[in-house]
Amino acid sequence: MLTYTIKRVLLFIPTIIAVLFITFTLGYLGPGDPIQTQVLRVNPRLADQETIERLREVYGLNRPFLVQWGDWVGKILRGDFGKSFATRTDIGPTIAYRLPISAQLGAAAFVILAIGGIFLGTLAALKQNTWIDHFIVGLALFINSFPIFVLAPLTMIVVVLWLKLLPSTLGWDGIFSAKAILPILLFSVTGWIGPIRLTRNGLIEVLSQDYVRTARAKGLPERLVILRHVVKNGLISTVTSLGLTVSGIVTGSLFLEAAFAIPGYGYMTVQGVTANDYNIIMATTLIGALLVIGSNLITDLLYGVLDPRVRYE
Amino acid sequence: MSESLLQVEELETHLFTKEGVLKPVNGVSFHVDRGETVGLVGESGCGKTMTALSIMGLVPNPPGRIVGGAIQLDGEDLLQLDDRTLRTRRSVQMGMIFQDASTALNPTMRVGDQIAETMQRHMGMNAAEAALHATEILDRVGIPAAEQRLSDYPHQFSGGMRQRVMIAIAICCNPELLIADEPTTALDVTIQAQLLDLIRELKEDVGKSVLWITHDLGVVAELCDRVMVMYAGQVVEEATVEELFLRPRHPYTAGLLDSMPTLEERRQESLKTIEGMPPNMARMPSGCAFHPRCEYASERCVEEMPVLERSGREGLVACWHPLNIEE
Ligand SMILES: Nc1ncnc2c1ncn2[C@@H]1O[C@H](COP(=O)(O)OP(=O)(O)O)[C@@H](O)[C@H]1O
Ligand SMILES: [Mg+2]
Repeated sequence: MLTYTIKRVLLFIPTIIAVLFITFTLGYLGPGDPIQTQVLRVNPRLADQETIERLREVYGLNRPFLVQWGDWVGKILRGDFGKSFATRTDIGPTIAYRLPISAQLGAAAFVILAIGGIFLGTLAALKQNTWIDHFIVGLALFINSFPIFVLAPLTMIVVVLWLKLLPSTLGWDGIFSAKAILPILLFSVTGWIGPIRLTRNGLIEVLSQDYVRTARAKGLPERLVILRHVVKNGLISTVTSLGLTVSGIVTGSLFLEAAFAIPGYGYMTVQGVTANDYNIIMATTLIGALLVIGSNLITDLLYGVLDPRVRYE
Repeated sequence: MSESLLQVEELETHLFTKEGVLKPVNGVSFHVDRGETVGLVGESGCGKTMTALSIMGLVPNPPGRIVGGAIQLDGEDLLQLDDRTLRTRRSVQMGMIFQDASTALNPTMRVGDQIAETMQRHMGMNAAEAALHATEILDRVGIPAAEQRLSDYPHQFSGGMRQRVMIAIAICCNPELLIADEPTTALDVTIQAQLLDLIRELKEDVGKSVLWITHDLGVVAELCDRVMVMYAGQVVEEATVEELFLRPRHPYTAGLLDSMPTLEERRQESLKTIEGMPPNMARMPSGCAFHPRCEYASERCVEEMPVLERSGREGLVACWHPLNIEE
């Protein structure tokens, strides 16, 4: 397991370097010149070529590409993400304030998504082809068929205007406030079909395996057969897929936070993109990518824990 | 005690499939005495595994169900037991070695744990005692460095060694009856011979009864006292090994014996086989199930199903025109 872990972590490093490189390149080559955009916004009359060149020099934008990249990476390693062009404040502290909000939201959604999905998928598998199975899979499919930007306003209308359960669902009062319930639920429930389907199919496949018959032939009670022999093997594909769920949550937060006006990472990204705020775009892209890579690494390590055949390769 | 250890009577196990009701075990009767090794032979698909699973109470449901008959093990009808009681009989009274150890062992569980959990369940051992016993048993089935290998996973063993682990699981609680379902079929000839030696050794040590399922009559000759020949869900002949090899009564048995490769044929790779194919269980022929492939078939064979009857001194045969009968 140790060699496997070390190997996985080492493989992780080139990926991070690639992400740093690609993120920066996208920002560098991306549409819209940041200086021009800013100068035009502040005072269009100043937009003469000379001023722009001078500003370029001030911001170090006339240096060779690789030098700029190295500079950027160095700053990021020190937690310096540069300044927002729009607000002229440091991005670092903004992220430090906003990311935990999204992290709490994402973590809560992830837990409900994973535990609920595995529970419902297991139930569906054990009650295979009964109405319970059809109901669980059907409902998850139905919910999944609505995009989040349709579901968000729809549920808001129901909860606020019709049922009058809450005066408003917009904004952020902390993870344990009533306002957080709707976004967390929407976030997790819309993704349920993935883990439910994988868990269900994984368990059904394992249930027909020879080694499950062997476990029964030993005279173990059915409870132990399921827990020890079926569940552990049947959940390997689910656990592996939960890593992919994280990237879904990261991209989903863009829509969800915008819809619920939650001042988190997703909302910040959307604002940055709309304003063409190039440092914010790079910072949020980088964080999103790192979250996804990190979850993939954890997935790989979990895979090794669960399946010895992978570990000993 | 004069009664047999295992007594199967008119066992009927049906599979309720889309193609119709299949009868892989269609009125099977036989017995296994204490200390006896009995062979169950027949071509692939004739219902041998289903017979074994019926005894163990492991018929896959759906599509299968035991619909009739009786299975007496040590004087107790297994078909009358509730699930919970039946589970306590597995491993302790009857253990089963499955055909393909590469799929019959849990890939994500340490081999030692797979043996130990059985003993913890049935012999009231704690984890430490069970691990100790598991080492002993691995050693007994001929796995070198048994203690270190307890913590290995099945994929770290060779095919032959994996089958030894399977045997260890089946015998770890000292069952009275050992059912071996083609345990050597998936392995090459040398490994096969080693495993046969192991089984013979284990049998001499404990004197337990064995039901040995195979499609290989050669193995039967080496290992068994008595043989049942199965065809399309029915026992068509039963005899001692000598009788069966010297004087096969059923034309199907004679055909099986003819298609056993002699040394000469092994070299020339010219194998005689029985003409035709076993019947599709969804569309069984009328009368004797073997008549479409039988060179002695008469009108009676097409119309009337023969029953298993005494033939000569020992043995039973289900045939209207048995061979080698000298009255
Ligand atoms: N799960 C199943 N579903 C449908 N048919 C089955 C199933 N298991 C076995 N059978 C059929 O039952 C018959 C007997 O099978 P089996 O007992 O495995 O034969 P053997 O062990 O003699 O090769 C075969 O014709 C096989 O196709
Ligand atoms: Mg078989």
